[in-house]
Amino acid sequence: MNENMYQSADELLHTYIDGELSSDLEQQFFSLLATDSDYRLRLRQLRLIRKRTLTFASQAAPSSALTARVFQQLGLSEQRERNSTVIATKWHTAWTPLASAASAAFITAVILLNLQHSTLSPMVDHAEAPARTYDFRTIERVALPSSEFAHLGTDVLHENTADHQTTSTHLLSVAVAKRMPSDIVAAQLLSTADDTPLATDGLPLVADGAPLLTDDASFAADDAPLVVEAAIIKDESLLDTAEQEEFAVDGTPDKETPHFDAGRVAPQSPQIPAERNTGSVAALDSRIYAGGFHFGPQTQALSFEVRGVTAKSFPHSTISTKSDPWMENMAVAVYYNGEHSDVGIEYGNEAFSQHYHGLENGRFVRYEQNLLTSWLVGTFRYRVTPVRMLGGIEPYVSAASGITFEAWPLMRFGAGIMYMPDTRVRFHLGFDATILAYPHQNTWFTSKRAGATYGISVLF
Amino acid sequence: MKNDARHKKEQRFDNLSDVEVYDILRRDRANEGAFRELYTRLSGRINAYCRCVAWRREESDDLFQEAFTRLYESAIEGREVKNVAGYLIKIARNLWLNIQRHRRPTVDIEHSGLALHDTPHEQTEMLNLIQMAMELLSEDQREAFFLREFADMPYEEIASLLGISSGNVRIRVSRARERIRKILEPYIIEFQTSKL
Repeated sequence: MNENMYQSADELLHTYIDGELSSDLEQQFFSLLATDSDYRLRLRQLRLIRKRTLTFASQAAPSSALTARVFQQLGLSEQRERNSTVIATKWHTAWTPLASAASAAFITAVILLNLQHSTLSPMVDHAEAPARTYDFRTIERVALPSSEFAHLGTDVLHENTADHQTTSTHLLSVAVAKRMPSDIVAAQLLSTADDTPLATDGLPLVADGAPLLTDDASFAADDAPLVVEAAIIKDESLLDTAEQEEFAVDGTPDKETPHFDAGRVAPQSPQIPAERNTGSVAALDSRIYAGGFHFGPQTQALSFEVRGVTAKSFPHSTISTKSDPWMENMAVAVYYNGEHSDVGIEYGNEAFSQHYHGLENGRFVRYEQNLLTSWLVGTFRYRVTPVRMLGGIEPYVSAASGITFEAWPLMRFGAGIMYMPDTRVRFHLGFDATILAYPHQNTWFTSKRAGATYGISVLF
Repeated sequence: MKNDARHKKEQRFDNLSDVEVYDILRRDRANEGAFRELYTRLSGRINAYCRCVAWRREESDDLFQEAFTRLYESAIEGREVKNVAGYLIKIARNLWLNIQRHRRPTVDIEHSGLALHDTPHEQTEMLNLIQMAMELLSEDQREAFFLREFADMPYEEIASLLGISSGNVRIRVSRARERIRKILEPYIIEFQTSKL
């Protein structure tokens, strides 16, 4: 086979593979094929390659997400897509608002349940529960720190002059702090620090873990220093429905107001003659429950938290941030801690991957940056009761929303576990997912981050 | 009854060529059914081309999206197209050339294989080998090879697209075929032996 013959044979081979071999050249081609085994091998190999490539072209369908992008950009529907594709596409476009709505519903439900628990339950109990009596032996006498109360002012309730000595009884206005243990279902002021008797027998201050007296409530008492001691009932069964009844102006119950075993627990309180009362104590009857969460003194009220984040960006980032501050992927927070619920403010620095691709000035462009941005969010965290089998580990879920320093909205959801080796220290480990919305050329885009978070809280 | 009408409406493109379907899209000013039909017919081929020239998935997706968007806009504007697949490839190709011209060399190229749906492993494996072999071809040979072997375009259309003669395209394709065959020869022999 000389050079010209070989070139001719080569052309014949490719023409045949292309399906363009004319009938008069077929004879020549098949003669070559019959006599040359290498020629036959080449033909088989080339046909195999072509078969594979053509198969690929027919099967290299674009992904459902890409198809959705095309139709979405053109404002068309994808009626002929497979059901699964449609569902996947709808989910692809709807997961963000659905997740936001579900989170908002969850947070709202938690808040409403807490409000209902603290404000409505006692009224329901009053309506449905049968009258109960106290077992005084279970009453505990505990000292409450003065920080639990706030002295709002003193009004002269009445003065009594006898034997040239004037005794004054004052209306002492106090406010009960909103942070009480949830297992305390009722509390009653019994005495002052110097055991000065009070005229408040039967006046419950706390019920069902929430204070009965609020800032605008007051009660009658002798002129006395701020209260530092109270009787606590820790068993709900000890609550008497009579607590719901009104109290007389002099602080004594006008119906079946519960009394404590004064002889065992507290010094006797002098009764103030009702006819000598001069002050207005209308607020006594309006025992407005403070709404909100059940905060407990066993948990420290405030905590300072530092945490790190190891997260991945979506869309993926192919470049790193230009700066490298010490606070990148870190956050600090201050929380107000309840028994199960914490609310706080958090500040942090994270890099969000931002992509833009499209037409700009008639030219197809693509931008990408990995923007390190600072953010400030309000955050809510709900901690489940510690699991004793796991050494007291507390699972938690959290939600946060806020803005970056560019005024772009930010939302975060998380879950994880916490562990308190000490009453003032808490370690936590969890998972965080953040979504950032940002505008570019009058269009809003989102950038997401998801990953692990770990940190430590110091309670004080 | 309603389903029958819809069925007839969907079926009416079956016997039409790509150009005829495009003409319906053009005449009816954004006939969604016609666009869907063209998309169903050509998306695989165009996607394959985009993935061939732009190895980064996001870039190839951008090319693909922009090609179909421009096709739709062309139809709305009443532009006449003689070869729909070739027109789409031409759009994608020109966009890719623009990107290449303005590319800032800051990002590494991410090699991502061409994805196939429901394809046996040996076929996928061989395609991956072909792709790797294609990387050893010159730019000119690779593109001509792809347009001929993957997109199944006639030589004349490839010539028109690339702006060269038909004979030149044939030479590029045949040389590319031979080069790939030689690179893959050991594998192909093994593959054919295992099939026996």
